[in-house]
Parts: sequence; structure tokens; C-alpha cells
Amino acid sequence: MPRTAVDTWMEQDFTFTAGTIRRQAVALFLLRLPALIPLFFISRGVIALNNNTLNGAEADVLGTGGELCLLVTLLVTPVITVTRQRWIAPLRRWYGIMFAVTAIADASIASITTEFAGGVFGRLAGHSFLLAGLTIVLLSLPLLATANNPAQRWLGKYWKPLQRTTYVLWGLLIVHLALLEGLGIEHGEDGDPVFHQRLYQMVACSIPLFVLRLPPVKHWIARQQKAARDWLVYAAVLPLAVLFVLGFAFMVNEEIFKGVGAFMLHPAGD
Amino acid sequence: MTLSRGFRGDAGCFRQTAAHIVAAALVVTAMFAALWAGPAASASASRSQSPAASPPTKRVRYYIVPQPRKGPAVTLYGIAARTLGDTHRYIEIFNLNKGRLQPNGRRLENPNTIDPGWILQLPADASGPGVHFGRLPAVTPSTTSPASHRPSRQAAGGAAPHSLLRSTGTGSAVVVGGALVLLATAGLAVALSRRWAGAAARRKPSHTKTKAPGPRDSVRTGAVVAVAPDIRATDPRWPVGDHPSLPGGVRPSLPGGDHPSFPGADHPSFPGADPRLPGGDHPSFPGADHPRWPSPDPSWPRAVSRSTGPRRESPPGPRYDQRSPAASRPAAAGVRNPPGNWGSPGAPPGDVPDRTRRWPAQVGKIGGAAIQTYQDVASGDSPFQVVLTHPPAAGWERATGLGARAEDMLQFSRGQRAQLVDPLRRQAGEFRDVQSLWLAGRILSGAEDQAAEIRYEARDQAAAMRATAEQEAAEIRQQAAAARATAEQEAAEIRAAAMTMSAELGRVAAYVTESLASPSMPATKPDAWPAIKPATHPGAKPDGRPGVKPGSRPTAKPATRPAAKPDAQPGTKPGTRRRQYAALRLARIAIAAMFLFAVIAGTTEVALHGFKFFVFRSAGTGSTPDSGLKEDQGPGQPNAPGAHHQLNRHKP
Repeated sequence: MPRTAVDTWMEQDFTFTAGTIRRQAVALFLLRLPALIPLFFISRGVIALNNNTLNGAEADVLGTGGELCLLVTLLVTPVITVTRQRWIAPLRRWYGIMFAVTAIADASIASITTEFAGGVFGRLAGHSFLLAGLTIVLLSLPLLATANNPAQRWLGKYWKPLQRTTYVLWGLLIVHLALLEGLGIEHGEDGDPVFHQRLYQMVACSIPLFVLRLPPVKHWIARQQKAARDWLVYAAVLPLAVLFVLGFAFMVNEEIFKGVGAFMLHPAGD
Repeated sequence: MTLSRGFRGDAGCFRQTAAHIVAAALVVTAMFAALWAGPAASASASRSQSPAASPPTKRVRYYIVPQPRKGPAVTLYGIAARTLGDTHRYIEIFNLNKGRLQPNGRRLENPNTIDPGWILQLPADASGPGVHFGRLPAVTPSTTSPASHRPSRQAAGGAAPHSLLRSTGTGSAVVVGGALVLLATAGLAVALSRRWAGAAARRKPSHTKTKAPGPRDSVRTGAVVAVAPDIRATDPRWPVGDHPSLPGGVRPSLPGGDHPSFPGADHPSFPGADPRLPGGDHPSFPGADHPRWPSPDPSWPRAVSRSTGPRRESPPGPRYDQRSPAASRPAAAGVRNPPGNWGSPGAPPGDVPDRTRRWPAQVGKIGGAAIQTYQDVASGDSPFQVVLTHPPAAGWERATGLGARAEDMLQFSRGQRAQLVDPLRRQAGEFRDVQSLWLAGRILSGAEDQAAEIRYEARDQAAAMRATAEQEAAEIRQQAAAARATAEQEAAEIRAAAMTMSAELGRVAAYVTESLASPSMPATKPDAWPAIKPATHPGAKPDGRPGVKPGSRPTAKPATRPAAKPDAQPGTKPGTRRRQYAALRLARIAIAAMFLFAVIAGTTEVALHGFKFFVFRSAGTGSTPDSGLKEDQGPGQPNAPGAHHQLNRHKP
């Protein structure tokens, strides 16, 4: 894959009086910050040990935050495929790590604060959607443990197949949301609006990511790019991008709404 | 190039006329220059003092000083700070523009004083607003001042250049006019000196010239050995025997046989006395019995009988006997006879052998006032040619046969003329103008010596060059051999490295194959294996693994990924793949454990609470439990921040 002008620009340094810093490092640093937002939103409740806040907000804040991190992790590869800009590749590992961290935090807080019967196991696996979530968290542990360069060298060529377990987590997440939300048609007469349900939001984001990973699609994109028809690629990807942004925007809105509420509102007293 | 004296006389007239024309032109030019030099010098002075008047061809950065609107006036410091980022670099701008004529007629002399509208050249690294890049605009001094804030200084500055130009123009006019007059005088003097030199050379006898002809110079003096009888008989311009220009006649200035300047036979300089020259007794001297020597004839000078020399072949072609009227060839303009041999006078062409013929003079071409005749003669086996500048007199033929004076002959145009000396010397008793022939022989001998020296020098130079070239070629061959040896050595090293690598790869492949066939995967580094593991585990689990792993993996992988990552495999250590596979197995185990844990947890929950409870949602599908975040925490509301603390304080 030829190196783009943006990649070349990113490899250059910003010059300051005290030294230089690589432009890519600066850009990646800024792009890595959003992954910390869910933890930031829930941090006040954790520090205050407010069970009410944690019980009511962790599922929305950390769960949705984990979904967003996973989607961003899965988004990096299609973006590289379409734009040929490889400088964003490190974001894939970072958001994967933050997805695991967020999921582990979610599971940990849920095992303590939720009202499911059965103790810790009941709160973690007392229901089908909880079991799916627990499975996601458990499977993310090996991925988190191997998401580093030493482990990559240790595993060698087996590192990448192992990391493809992320696709399993992706499917389990959809199952988790399906078991949690259902299809949304039995709730009331008309049900909730489609994009007000997390399952459809997740599906809307997953379809473009899945399509852009299909080998025929990737080959077609590569042929068009080799023939200098990037506009055709962008035109074809545009509907998928719109669909992704639509679902992603609802999830981001949910995250911001619930997260700001969990951070700003005073914890309810006992 | 052959020039006869007649033509030389024409050329001299032409040169003289040309010299007159050139001298007159120079004088007239000097006069006009003296009249014109005043304003021209003024103009040149004005141009020389205004370097900006002619725009430079180089593209530079420049700055046009703007009109000050508000605040302080524009200064060089400000411009330096604005365009160069450093006020201290104003001096660079000042040095670049010092003395340059500006549009208002003034010049930059003081760095503290610049006027709006001035065009200032900037250093190459100047940048910023107002910096232009291109050829510096041509500055035409304006009579009116663009800026009126300093009228007195500007008026003084504008008047100064004009007065300076006027004063400088007068002085330059005198200098230039004087220089041109001197130049014209010098040219006239050169022309006159050339003319005088040419006249003196014409007055000087030819035999008094001591300069020997060079290898490329034409022989301008020598002997006329034959004269065309046709021309002598028909051309009235041909000098008669008593013509004062004829040698040996009444003209006292020409050296005759009794002339005191003529070296006699006993003179040391006479060819016969010179041991270097072939004398009569010299073996190379062609005698009467020489095959190339003319056969005996009553009217022809007889030589001493000599022994028979080596017979030489005569050149082919028709031959005519000059002395025989029947064999004479009619003269034809523009026709030149081929060279021939000396022949016996009066002998019929058909009766005498070819080697005894001689050629008559023929008219070569007609140029100028005189008819130029080429006389082809031969001495021995070396034909040569002379050209007459005047038609020979009618009386020459019988008397001398070589009666032309030395002044009248012009040129020898063939080589090996020195051989003419010997046969002519043998006939010297019958020839009146033998001195001319002798001089020709001397000159030819000198020319031969010089030619020989030149040949020797050229031979030496060629030998030296050849030696140098051979040495360089030898060095180049040595370098090529060294380079070839180095290349062969490098190739051998590369081959050895390739062989070593191939052997290592073979060992790696064998080791991998052996490792895959081994019953268990390594837990430690490969270095510890050969000493410990083979001794303890050969019989542990040998039968289960080899049938599966080696058969499936090596055949599947190379077929599916031949070009994916070929570079990674050779560089890995022998135990890397096994270690990686062990890590993968460990990761798989971890994943399986995690998954198993989840399955166990779920199964336990289902077993404890039932499947309905496991999938039932009391709050309905799509709802999460109440977040507990009550919307009563605003200001003044019951659960507002601090409300609980206040309630607690009021509690008793």
C-alpha cells in the first residue's frame, strides 16, 4: 500500500524551543483521549463509592462506552482500507485496550452494585444478557494481556489470529444487546424507535464495518485505488459511512447524556 | 599556396590600397570620434554613474519604500525588521543599495535617510509583506521630486548629478578623442611599415635570403631547370637573353659564376665539399651508367662514367622530350603535365627508354600579368616541379635550358628536391646559371635535413606517445585485472555465504521437521533440548504426534502463504516457532478457561434459578433498571446538593 501524503506529513516533527515531537504522536495522543471519557464519567461515583449512582449509571456509561471503544477499534481497519492512511493504526490497539478496561470496570462495578440476586455470580451471570456480557469480559482478558509488543513477539505469527478473537467479542456484544434490549417490538404497541434501541444502534454501526471487511469489497477498493478512482470508492462507501455515523451518533449521545448526568448530579442519599 | 611574384606584386598593391583605406578610415573615424566624443562621453558617464538605469538580469528581492501614512517614517531599520526579522541587518540593505540611482534622482548614501518610492534591493532571504521578487525595476530619474518633504536636499541632490555629468563629459571627450587619434596614427604607422617592409623584401636579391625554407614553406628560390619553348617563342613578355632580369646576363646584382658571393667548387659550403652531401664519388650519385641518368647525347652535358647502380622503375605515363621539338607538347592553359624523368635532349620519344625522358614546361594557369608555367622535372626517381613567374626569353632554350633567373622561378612543389643537386652539378659546366641550381640544391639539402630532423622528432614524439599510451594501457589492464580479481573474490564470498546460508536453512528445516516430529513441544529454549529431552522422552509419546503435525502443517502452510511473509521465517531462531506455538496454546487455554468459566457460571445460574428466570426481564425487554438518579436534585429541590447535610444538622 503506497504511503499517502498525510502519512508522510505525520512522520515529520513539530519543532518547539525545547525539542521536537512527532506529529503523529501528537495526533494520536489527541485521538486517544476520548477513550478515557467513560472512565472519567464514572470516576466520581467510584471515588465517592456511591452505590446509587454506580448502580444506576454504570451500565449506561461504561457499557455504552465499551461499545464505542469496540466500534472504534473495529473502525480503524476499514478507514485504512478506504483512505490508505496508516498513521491511525496504533489507535486500533489503544481502543481495544480501553474497550477491555471499560468492560472489566463495568463488570466489576456491576458485580458489586447491581440488584440481581445470587451474589456476585448472580450479578455477573444471573441472566442471559449478563452471561453474554460476562463472557465478553472474560474473553477480553487474554486479548488485553497480549495487546503489547512483548506478547506480540512472544506469539509471533499467532498473535494476529489470537487477536481476531475480537470478532467473537463483537458478535457476543450484539447478542448481549439483543438479550438485553430484545427486538423492541413487544414493548408497548409501537415499541421504541429503532435507533433509540442499543441493539439497532449497534447493528447500524456493525453493518458498514462488516461489509468493508469482506474480501471482495476489499479487493474492489484496492482495484479502484490502483486505477486512481478514489472518488468511486468514497462514493460507494458514503452510504455505509452515513449508516455508521447514524448509529454511532445515538450511542455517543447516550454516553454523553448519561455520563454527564452521572458525573454532575449529586449522588442520592441513603 | 603558390604565389608568383607577379601575383605577389598584385597582392602588394592590394595590401597597400587596403592599408591606405584602413588608415584613412581610422583618421576619419578619429576626427568624428573627437567631435562626437563629448556628448557620447557625457552619456556614458551618466550611464556609468547610474547602475540602476540598466535593469539587472538577475531576479532579486526588492522592496518599494511606501508613503508614510501615520506614525514614524519608514527607515532601513524598520524594513530590515519587517523583511529580515533583524534590525541589525539594515546594513546589508544599505550595502546592496548604496549609490544606486533611485526614481527621484537621488541615491542612498545615508542609511538614516530614505525616501518613499525608492526601490531597495533586499538580501535573498528576505520575506514578508511588501517584498517583491523579480528583476529590479529599471529606474528612470525623474525631473520632479516624488516627495516634497525635503525640497532643499532634493533639489541639491538632483542638480549635483547633472553638473557632475557635464564636467565628466568634457574630460572624457578629450581622453577618448586623443585615444582614437593615437589609434589611427598607430594604424597608419603599421600600414606604412608593412608597405616599406614589402618593398625592401622585393628589392632584396633572393639568393641573399638566409632563411632556410621550412617544411611547410614553399621554396621561393631555386633554379629554373627548363622553360617551355612554346611560350618562349610566342610570348613577347618573355625576357630575352640580354634582359637585365636574367641571371648571368648583364645584371650585375645577380651572382654569376664569377660573382664573389658565389661559392666555388672548392668552397666548404659547396655540396661537393660537404661530406654529408653525396658527391661525385658518392655511391648514391647517379652516374652516366645509372639507369635513371640521361643517355649520352652530343648536345647534352656528359658526365663521368660510373658503375651501374641499382635499376629503378620509372613512373608510368606519357613522356615528352623537352629538347625535341617534335616531342614538345603544346602548351595549354590549366593543364599540368605529370611528372617525368630527365631525358636525353633531342632523342625521339619512341627510341629512348622511359627512364630517360624529361618533361617540357607547360602552362599551368594564367593569373595576373604573367603566365605561370609549371616545369616538371625529375632527378633520379624523384620528380619535382618549379613554377616560372615570367615567360622565359627565347634565347634561353639553346643556351642554358635552365636559363631562367633565380628571381623568376617561384616554387618547388615536390619533395626530395635535394637529389636535384647531383645531376645538376654534373652539368654545371654547360649551364650558365648553375649558381641558381646550386642554391636550389643547397636549399633543398637544408630542407631535407630539416625534414629529416622533423621526421626524427616526430618519430621520437610518436614513440614517446606510444610508450605513454602503452604504459597507460598497462595500468588500465592492471586496474581491470585488480577489479576483476576483487569482483571474483566478492562473488566467491557471496557464493560461500549463500552456501552457508543454504546449509543453515537446511539444518533449520531439518531441525524444524525433527521438532515437529518430536512428541512434545519445548518448554525451554532449544539449546537445552538436545542434551536432556531426547534422552528422557523418546518413548513417552512418540506415536501420537508425528502422524498429525508433520503431515499437515508443512504441506499446508507453504501452499497457502508462499509470498505473504517470506522474510520472517529465515530470520527466526530455530525454537521461535515452537515457542510461539506454545504461547498460542497458552492463550487458547486462557480463552477456553475464560469461556468455560462463563459457561459454568451460566449453567450454575440456570441450575439454581431456572431457565425462565435466566431469560426473564421483569422490567420488560428494552428497559434497564431505574438508574436511581432522581430528577429532584436541582436547586431548591429535596435532594439538591447539601440538602441532606442541612436536614441532618436540624435533627436533634
